[in-house]
Amino acid sequence: MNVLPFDPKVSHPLPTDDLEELAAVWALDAMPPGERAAYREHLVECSTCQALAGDFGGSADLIPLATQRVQPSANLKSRILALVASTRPAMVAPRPRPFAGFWQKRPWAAPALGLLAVTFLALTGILQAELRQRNSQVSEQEALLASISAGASVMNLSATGVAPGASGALVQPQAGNIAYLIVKDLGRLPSGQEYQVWAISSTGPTSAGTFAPSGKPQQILTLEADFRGADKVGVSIEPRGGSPAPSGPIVLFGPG
Amino acid sequence: MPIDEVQDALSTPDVWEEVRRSLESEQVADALQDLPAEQRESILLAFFGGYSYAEVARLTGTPPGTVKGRMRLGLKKLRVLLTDRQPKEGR
Repeated sequence: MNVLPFDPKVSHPLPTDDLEELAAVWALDAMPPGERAAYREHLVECSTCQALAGDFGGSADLIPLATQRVQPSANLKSRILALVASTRPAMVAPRPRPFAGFWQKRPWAAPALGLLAVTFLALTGILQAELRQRNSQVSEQEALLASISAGASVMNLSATGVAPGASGALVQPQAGNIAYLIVKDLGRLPSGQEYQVWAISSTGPTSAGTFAPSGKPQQILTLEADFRGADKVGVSIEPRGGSPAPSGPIVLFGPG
Repeated sequence: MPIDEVQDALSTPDVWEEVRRSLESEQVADALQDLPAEQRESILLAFFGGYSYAEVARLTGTPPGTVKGRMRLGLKKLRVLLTDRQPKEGR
C-alpha cells in the first residue's frame, strides 16, 4: 500500500511546500518505516525530490555540531556525549537509523493485536505508558543538550572499586537550580538501599537526592540541586530514603 | 542510480560539506536557539529522540501536518541562519 500522497513512480517537475515537508521529515529521519520505504523508492525516480532531500539533509546534518561545545575539556565532552549518545539510535548520522519504535522492539505484539481485542486494549495502555516515559526521557535529554550547548559545566565521575565499570557525569547549567546526573552501568541494589548523590564542598557533603537504579544501562536524572559551589560530586549506597551524611560505600566520585 | 546509493549521494552534497567545515559548533547551537520553540522542539525530538513525525505529533498534542510543517520551516530557517552567519570572503 502506498502511504505517500502520490505515486512513488512519478517525477515531480517542481518543488512544492508539501514536497519540502516530506524532504524535511526524511532529512530528520522522522518518517514511519512504511513511508520511509516508499519515499526512498520515490527518490530514485524524482530528481526534484532528490535535490530537496539533499538540501534539507544538509541542514539536518549540521545539527550534531551544536553538541560539540562542552566545556571545560574535550575529554569531558567526548565522555558525556558518548554517554548520552548511547541511548540514541543515531546522533551523528541520522539517516538511516535503526527504527527504535514500539513495534520493532516487540514483534510479537502485532499478531497478538490481531487476535484479541483485550490484548489491543492492554497494548494501548503499554504504548501510552511507554510514550509518556519516552517523552520524559527525551525532555531530559533535550534539556541536557540545551544545557551543554549553553556552556554548562561538566564534572566527570569515575567508578570506585565498589562498582567497577560504572561511570557518570554531572552537568550543571549556568542558570537555575537543576542539574543533570548521567550514570551508566550502575548495578541493582538490594531491597532497602538506594543511591544517594552528594555535592561536596569545603564545608562537607550535602545531599542532592536519592535514586533507585532503573535496571537500564544508562539513567539521566534531574536533580533539584545546585552544584556550582561543589568541588566534587559523589554517589554512595545508602539506606532507602537517604542518609544525612555519606555512610555507605562510594560508587562514583569525581572529578578525579 | 542503485537505490542503496541514493542515501549516500543525498547526504553529502559538496556545498554543505563546505559549510560544515567552516562552521563553529557555537554557531549551530546559537542558530538552534534562535528557532521558534515549536520548530526547535519538533526537530530535536525527531533528531535526538528518534521519534517519527507522527510520534512527535502525539507527544506534543499537535496535528501531524503541523509537525511536518514545523520541521520544514525549522530546517529552512536553520539553513538561512547558518548561511547568514558564514564569514564573507574578503571581509
